[in-house]
Amino acid sequence: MSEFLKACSFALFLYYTATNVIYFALLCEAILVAIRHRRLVDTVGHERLRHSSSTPPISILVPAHNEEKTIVEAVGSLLRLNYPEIEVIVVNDGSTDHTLAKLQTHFDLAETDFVHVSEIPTSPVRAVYMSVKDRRLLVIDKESCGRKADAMNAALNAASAPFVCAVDADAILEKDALLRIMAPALTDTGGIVATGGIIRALNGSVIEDGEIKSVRLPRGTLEALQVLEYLRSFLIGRQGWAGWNMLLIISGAFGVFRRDLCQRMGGFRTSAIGEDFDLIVRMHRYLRDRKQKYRICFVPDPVCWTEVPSTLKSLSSQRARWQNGLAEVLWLNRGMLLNPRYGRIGLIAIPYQWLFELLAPVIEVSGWALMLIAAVSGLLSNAFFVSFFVLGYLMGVFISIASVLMEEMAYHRYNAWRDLIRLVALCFLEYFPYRPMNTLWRLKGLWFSVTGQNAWQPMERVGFQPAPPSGD
Amino acid sequence: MRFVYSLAASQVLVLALAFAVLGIALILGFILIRRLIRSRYFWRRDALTLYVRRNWRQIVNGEIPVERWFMQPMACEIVQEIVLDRVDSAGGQELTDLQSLLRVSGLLDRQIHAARQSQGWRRRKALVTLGRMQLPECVPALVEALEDRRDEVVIYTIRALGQIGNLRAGEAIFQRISRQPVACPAPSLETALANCFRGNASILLPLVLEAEDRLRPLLARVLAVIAAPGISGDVLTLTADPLADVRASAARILGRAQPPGAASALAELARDGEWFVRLRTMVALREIGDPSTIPDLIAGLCDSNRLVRLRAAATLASMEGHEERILHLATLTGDRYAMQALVWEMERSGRITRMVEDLASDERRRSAESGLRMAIAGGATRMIVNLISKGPGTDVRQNLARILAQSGDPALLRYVEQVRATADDVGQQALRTLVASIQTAHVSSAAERAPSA
Repeated sequence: MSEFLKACSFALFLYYTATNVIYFALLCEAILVAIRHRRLVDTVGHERLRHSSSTPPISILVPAHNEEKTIVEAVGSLLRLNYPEIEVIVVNDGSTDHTLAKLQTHFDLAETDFVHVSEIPTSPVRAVYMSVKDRRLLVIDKESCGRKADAMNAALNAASAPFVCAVDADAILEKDALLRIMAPALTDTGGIVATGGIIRALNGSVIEDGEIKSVRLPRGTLEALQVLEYLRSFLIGRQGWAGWNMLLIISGAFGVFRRDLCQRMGGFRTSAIGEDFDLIVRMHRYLRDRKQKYRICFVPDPVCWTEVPSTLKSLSSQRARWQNGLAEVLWLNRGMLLNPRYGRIGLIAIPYQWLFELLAPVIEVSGWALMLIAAVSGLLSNAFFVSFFVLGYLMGVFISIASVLMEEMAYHRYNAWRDLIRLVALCFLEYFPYRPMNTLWRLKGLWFSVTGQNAWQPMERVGFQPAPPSGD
Repeated sequence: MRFVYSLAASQVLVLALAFAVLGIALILGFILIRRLIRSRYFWRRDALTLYVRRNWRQIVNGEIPVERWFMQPMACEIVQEIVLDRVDSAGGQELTDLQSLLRVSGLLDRQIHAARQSQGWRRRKALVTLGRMQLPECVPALVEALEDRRDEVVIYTIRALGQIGNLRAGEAIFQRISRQPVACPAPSLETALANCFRGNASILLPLVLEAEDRLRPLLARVLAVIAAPGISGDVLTLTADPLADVRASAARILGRAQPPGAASALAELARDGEWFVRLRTMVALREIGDPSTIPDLIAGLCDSNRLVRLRAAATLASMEGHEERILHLATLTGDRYAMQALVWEMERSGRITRMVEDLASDERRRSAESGLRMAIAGGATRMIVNLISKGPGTDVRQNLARILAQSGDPALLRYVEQVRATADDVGQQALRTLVASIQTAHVSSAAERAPSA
């Protein structure tokens, strides 16, 4: 028994070490990618892309389910984006609130008998509307099957541009976001098929007419902790993985994909909860099966602002759903795991997702429980236990502060000193107590996945509200 | 196992702890010091920028001697940035003065030197700056850089030459890509060549015709961007090119240049085997706007490819004054999707709304009525019900109600009632007329059917 507990403790030690080593490697790669990107931005000239005849049109796909609080501002901000040619396709996915009515009133929608050819099968489309005010806006009203993927497919069927951009209805894109996210696709020869942008927390920032006027850290600690988490996940995680061309996730809240490829692959998988993650994994699979040269990249400066959960209940529901989605996608694509046919994706990226993302909550909870038993029963030296805990804590803090450093050096959105001090202070809270809570929520998601519960709790939204003026 | 375990507990763990604490302290210190330095740096820079902007005229005309700012790195950088920003938008005397400043001050020579002698990032930055200067003297240094074995340098150089945009720069790029393929993204290469050959499409045309298969599609795309009426040479030859990419560009060129015989050549391309050639042709036909091509566009409206169909519909919808004929021909095809695509585009382009407005005009009422009947048959019913609910003038409303009522659509009444339920007072009143018309039409059609029954 004692040997077993010691072996478990040691295995957990190795697991934590491996996690931190990988994160450290990702950090190094992310720094290199950020430097390269900075240099690209200095020379690419977004204004030139804006006026160039070579810049391809984009269809912006906006699935909306009960988004009456934010939909008008969100669509308005999309129509005001700096980009030569866009069409905005909003899908009212069986909303039971006034989402459609608000769109109708604000954008003067007229119902048309446009034939919506369901090249990718979807739930029935009730009606198609076009805006009399702005011809670039198309609204599809459809029945909901409870999955965002279905709404995305309906929008994909109506899209006509060579690139499609998925945007959440509660999100606000920065004015140049499309030009920035498209820059790699237009300047790279590596066959870019999808590009992701960074998602940041909208809570606390000042918004006017659907535009961010001043970026501030959210007032609530829970939301601010998520800011930190997003910074780490995007600026280190995704940027690092993209540098190695092993990016597996492009957020459905803001990502650009090649339309023809999406359609050839049959669009988003309706049965998947994490449809965005699933699409990218299938893209890797599809293109590697056909031995095509491609790149899926991440661009850190086109910013998409979105509201993050502000209550423990909605956050726990969101995280459980994400974990459930992760489990589902990994299971659906289990054929890629350790399969040399899929190169670095099958041998590194997918195993990483299994071991360090999917099973992490199980390993962490069981590991900590065993270590605690070993420490209490005297089988494990208390010095080891405390040192191990402190080390894990400090490494977590180190990575979090490194993401603040990345933010400071490369993107610098949180200018106020007060915000910086709060961000740094939150780095010390993230590992404990936030992370254990997150682990439990993820464990719950895993349980849902095992038991087949896919109940989705909608997030309580407050809408885009101007923040009260502050003294800074 | 015991050995490793004891090692982990004592030395490795303690060492790792120390490193973690040190790392955190270093990062925090770095962030704080960097912020302080940057705030001081930007404070100085802002003050200097303000000074430069206030004295800009004196700096440009030399009243403030070059030596006063050129030897201060920050001031020199600010002046250069302001000059380069202004060069982008300046014209006439201002541009001459700015370019003269670049030459006289030594900023040009400094960048040429950096482009020739520096390495890595500094060199690439110098190449970009030379491009932004837009001076012909920059071309030789850039041409030298075109021969660099590193793809990255060549890509930056091509972009810079494109910004200078003169014929010599264009010829240099052409010669470079003719000798050996370059790993430059196609949009950058096309934009650069288009900038260089703009206004000289007649010089590019023979190069396209004589180019090898590898280059011809690229050059044809460039020609399609810069083609303008009056281009000399046999453009029509390109329509018979074996490469589909070139034929697609040929369609664009014909649309833009509109040489004699363009319409018939495009009619031929409208039947091409490649969908994207047909797509480009439909767009080109819109630019030509020749009513004689309507039958070809109607054929495009029934194309097997959805995008071709939509483009053909958009082109047809843009042909003002021919709505009735177009709708009639589209109806004759019996292709429901074709009709829907056309009606959809007519709605999008506001053509249906204009036809509705024409109902108020004595001259155009007849044609508008006929067109609207066909549009309703093609699926514009809901759009028109919505237009009625917006409360147009009495005559228009009554006419529209009559036309709609005659459509015989069995689902119409139910839909009108739905819209009426959510309409405002004006809409309610307008739709009441429509409901009455539909009911009258139903009664009279029932009466007509009764004797035969």
